[in-house]
Amino acid sequence: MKKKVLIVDDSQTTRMTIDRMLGEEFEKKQASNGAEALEILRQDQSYSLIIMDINMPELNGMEFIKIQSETENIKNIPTMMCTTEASRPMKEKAKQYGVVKAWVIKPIIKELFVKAVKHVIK
Amino acid sequence: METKDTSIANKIIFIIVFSSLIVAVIGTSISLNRDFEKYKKDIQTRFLDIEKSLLPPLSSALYSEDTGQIKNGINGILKMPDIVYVEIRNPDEEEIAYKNGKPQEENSIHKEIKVEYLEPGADEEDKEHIADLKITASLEGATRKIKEQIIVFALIQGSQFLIITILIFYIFTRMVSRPLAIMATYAENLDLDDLSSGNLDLGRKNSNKRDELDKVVGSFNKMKDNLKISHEKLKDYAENLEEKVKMATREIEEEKNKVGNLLNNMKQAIFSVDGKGHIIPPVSDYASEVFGENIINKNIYDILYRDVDPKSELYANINTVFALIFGEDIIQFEIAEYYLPERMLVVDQKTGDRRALKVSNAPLWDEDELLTHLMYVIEDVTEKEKLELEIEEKKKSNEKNISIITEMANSDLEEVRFFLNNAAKLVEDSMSLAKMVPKEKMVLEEIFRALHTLKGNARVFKFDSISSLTHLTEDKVTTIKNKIEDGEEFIPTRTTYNPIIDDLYSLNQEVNEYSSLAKKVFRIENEFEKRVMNDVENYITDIDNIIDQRIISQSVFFKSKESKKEKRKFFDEIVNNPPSKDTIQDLHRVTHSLKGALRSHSSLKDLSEYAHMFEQSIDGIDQMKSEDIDDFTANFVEAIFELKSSLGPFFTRKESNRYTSIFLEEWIAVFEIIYNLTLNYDEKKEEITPQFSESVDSLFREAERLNCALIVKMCRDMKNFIKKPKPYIWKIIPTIVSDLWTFMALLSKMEFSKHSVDEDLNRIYNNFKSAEEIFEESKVKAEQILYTEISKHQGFLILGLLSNLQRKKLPLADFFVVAKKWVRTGGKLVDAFIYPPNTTVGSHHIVGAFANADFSKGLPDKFKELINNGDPIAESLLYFFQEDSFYTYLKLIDVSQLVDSFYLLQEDGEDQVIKVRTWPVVLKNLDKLEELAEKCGDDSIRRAVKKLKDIPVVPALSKFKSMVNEIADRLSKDVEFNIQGTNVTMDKDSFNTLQDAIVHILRNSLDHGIEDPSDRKKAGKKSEGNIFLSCEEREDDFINLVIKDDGKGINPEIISKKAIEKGIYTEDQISKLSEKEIIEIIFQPSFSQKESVDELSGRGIGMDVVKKNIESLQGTIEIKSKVGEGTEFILNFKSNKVG
Repeated sequence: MKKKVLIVDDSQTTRMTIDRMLGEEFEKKQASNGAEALEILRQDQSYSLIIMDINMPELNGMEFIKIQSETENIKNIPTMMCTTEASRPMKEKAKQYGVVKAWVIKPIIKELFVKAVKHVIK
Repeated sequence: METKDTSIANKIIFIIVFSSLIVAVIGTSISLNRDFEKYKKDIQTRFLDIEKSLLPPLSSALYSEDTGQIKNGINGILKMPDIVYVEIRNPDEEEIAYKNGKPQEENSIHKEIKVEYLEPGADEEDKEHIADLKITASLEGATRKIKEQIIVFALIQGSQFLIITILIFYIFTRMVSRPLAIMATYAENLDLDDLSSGNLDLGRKNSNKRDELDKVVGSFNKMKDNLKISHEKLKDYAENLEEKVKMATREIEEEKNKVGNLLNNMKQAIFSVDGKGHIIPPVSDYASEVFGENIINKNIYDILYRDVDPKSELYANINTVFALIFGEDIIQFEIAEYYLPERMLVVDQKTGDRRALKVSNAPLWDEDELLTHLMYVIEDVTEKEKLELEIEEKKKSNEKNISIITEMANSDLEEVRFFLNNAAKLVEDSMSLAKMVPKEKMVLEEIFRALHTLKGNARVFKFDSISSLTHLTEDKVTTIKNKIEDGEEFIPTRTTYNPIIDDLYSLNQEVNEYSSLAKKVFRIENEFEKRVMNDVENYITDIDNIIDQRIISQSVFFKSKESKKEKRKFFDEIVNNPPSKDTIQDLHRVTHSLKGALRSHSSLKDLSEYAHMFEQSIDGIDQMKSEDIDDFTANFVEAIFELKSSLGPFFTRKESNRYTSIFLEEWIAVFEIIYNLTLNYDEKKEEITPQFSESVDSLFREAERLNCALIVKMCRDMKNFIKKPKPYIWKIIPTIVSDLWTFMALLSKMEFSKHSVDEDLNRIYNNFKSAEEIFEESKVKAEQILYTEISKHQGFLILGLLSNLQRKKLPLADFFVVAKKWVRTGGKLVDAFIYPPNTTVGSHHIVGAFANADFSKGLPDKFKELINNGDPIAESLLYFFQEDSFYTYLKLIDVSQLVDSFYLLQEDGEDQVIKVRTWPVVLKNLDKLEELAEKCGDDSIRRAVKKLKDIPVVPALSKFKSMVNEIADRLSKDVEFNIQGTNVTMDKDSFNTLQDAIVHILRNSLDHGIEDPSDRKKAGKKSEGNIFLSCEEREDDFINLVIKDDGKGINPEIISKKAIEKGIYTEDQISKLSEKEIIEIIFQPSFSQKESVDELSGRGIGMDVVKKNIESLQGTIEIKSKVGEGTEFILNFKSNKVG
């Protein structure tokens, strides 16, 4: 049974890129913002990993992880932040929510990314 | 808790007394009880006694009722001890019949006895019960006795208690308490500040046996002593604390320095930063050098990243990494690390120089394996990058060289030589014309013509950089020419011509570069310049040698120009030991010749100034009077240094154009001659044998063949010495022999250094080494080893020599004897001749050293540096350039050439290298073969060999493709050029002749045949024109070659008109000619020559040449042309001139 990964990013190109990088090893689903991601997670909580962009319309990555951390049945799904820029306060905040397991910097380097994904899922 | 003082003695006494009392009481009670029981038993016994002894009389008395007797009996009983009461009763009556004594109920024992009477003689059964006797025995006696005993016991116990108490108390006080008290007092009074007081003494009698107390005291005293010692130590320590702290600090500092030195030696800035980017000590010393300031406690953003634009992506990345990694695990670090820059450019704040830094990062973890600090290791790679860039550029130019060489190899070398000589002349002619700032159209046309010829030729050889440069220059010339034609008011000035002159200089340089390569690889040389260059080198070497050998005892070459000390030394030496007239004359003569040679060489003219200055300083010495000897000498020394430092760099320039052979077999031959020469040389006798002089001659010839300037010059000098021996030569000749050997060793080592098969190198190295080790003990063994090695591999200089020696049946082991004597080396020969296997240091160091070094002073230092870096070649170089040897300039020339050849030329494209290396060999062999065939006289063989050298026509003609394309481009025409043909060959000379013809026909077609694309469209043709060349061999040794275009064709009317205009024919004459004949007018010299050069490729130039050339090939040329459809040139000619 393949592990499920939810890819959340408002850029379709990025979603496609990540999707391709992850290859056939995972079952992947995409969402274009945090709200969409929450909707998907409301129906299915069996995801092994959420890959989350930060800057997105409607519900951004930081808002998402806050909600995620407060929602019982999804707060244990590990989340990987995927961002071009991260600041210290942002990271501290994310640490408080406790759902973020790793940060990946864009532009994504395949080897590093896959390594991080495998590490977090394990 | 409150405590009361109490005596241990009391406690002990109490315990002893109490316990002994209990024991005594229990014991006594048991004993008393037993006594009491015994008493009772005694009484019972008494009762029995009474029964036995007193009862019978009593019973008889009772029987007889004798009262007196009864009373006697009773009293008798009563008299018994303890019996206090007796009574007798009748058995049938209750009343007491008799009684006596006092009845006692308590503390007594009662006994009732049946009194029976048996009549004498009656049966036992007839006993008659006559009375009951009751006896009471009192126990008071026993009680009394016991009481007495208790009293005694109490008395004994009491006194015992008393005695024990006193005894214990005494003993204890005396033996334990007192000493303890003394000890306590002593301890209490012990002054820790002053432990020098006497030891603890209990004041007891000395005894040999030590009891526990003694031991305690001993321990105590020991403890006190120890305490005293440590106290003293402590005191001492306290007193010297400051000193010790200082010492420790110093030690720590030293340690730190050691680490610092280590870091410093590493030439790396090493430090770590915390999450906020603060740089935390320790920081390696080198860091402040890299950043130009002390960086401790500064922020990394203000140091390493200070020149990063805060708006840049890089800056954002660095920020992001810093935000993410701290307090995280290794995975997070690995993900983020990638985004930190690995190379930074930092501007030095003081000098403004840019430093290139190689940055690597490493994480530092806390105990939870979370990142706390980020370590930076920074290396200044500015110099390294510069060097790499230089090597890269050298390589690039080399790549270009390879392609040029390939082109040359594909062309006829004779032609290339002709082209290059011609090209140099053309450029020089154009240059001198341009420098005259000509105003006449005529002169410009001449320049144009020269350039045009050059361009055309360059295209044929595909020397693209020459043709494109020429093209640019041509354009500039045309522009000026047009201006002159257009307007009267335009007067060209020097400024007008400057760009052209600049171009011509670069063109000259470019041609030189080609020439230099041609020389290097194919030995194609410009004879004149070659001669001049040789002369220059020789003169400089002569000057150098005269100074080193005869004026100053040590080579000036490696001394810095700035060193006042050295100058002073030389000055003193010259003043104390002035050069002889002879020497000065020699020096003067050579310097003058040098000046002349420099002046006659186009690219060395500027240097003649220095020679001139030097010459003047010699004049001075020559005529000096004793009073101004100092002035002149000082001038002379100054001039020597000036000359050296100005001529030094000249030898490293590319244009010095030296070529020294890299062909192994030639070097082996040289080595063998050197070997023989050495065998013929006896340094102890100051004379020259004919054999030696013969060896010098043959070495000279071989070295000339090899083009090794150094050996040539050495031989030339030795020949001069032989002719006119002078005393100083006996110092010089051994140095030369030693130089030759050291040179061979260096060459051999360089050769091995390129060898990539490790096993070979390993084996050769080890075999050579063991042969060297044993040759003195066992020549035979050493030779066996060498034989084995030669049989395995001969492809190296040293093995080649040994194998030649073996072939001549010369003892191989002697090689070691000779070599040991003459090779300058630091240790074993094996390390002088053979590159140590498994060396990791790359050859680029040597290349770099030669590329970078300032030859007038920096080279030895560079070598030393390389030696320190473990470069094995550098050591050999240092020995080769040893200070007390001569010929430094020529050594430099040859070695830097060899370094180039060994390490650069051959590093690129192995195929090309093989081609470049084998091509001349192939040609040489063909020449030899031809020679042999010529000698053997068999015509068929001769022809077959000749055929070998033939040129395949079709592939050779394909070089015209690029020429056609380029010309078409320039003319803005679209042309497709196709060549087709069978396997046709021609001899070289014939082909050259043909080639010139073809060039002209093709040019003609391009210029006049093929129309502009627009015209072609108007004419209903495809915009792209076609030129088609086909070539096939006929059966009769003739070749049929057709060049056909689909251009506008040759219009006979125009030809006629022009011919009449030019006055070649009259109208009348023309009218009688056929169309074909009219067309053929173009082959007439007067027709084409009259054409001016005002059109790009020179209309009609050389159609007469075409005809002449083809005729010289016993051939014919025919033109078929149809106006509007195209022209066809049909050539029939013989493939071999000689047949």
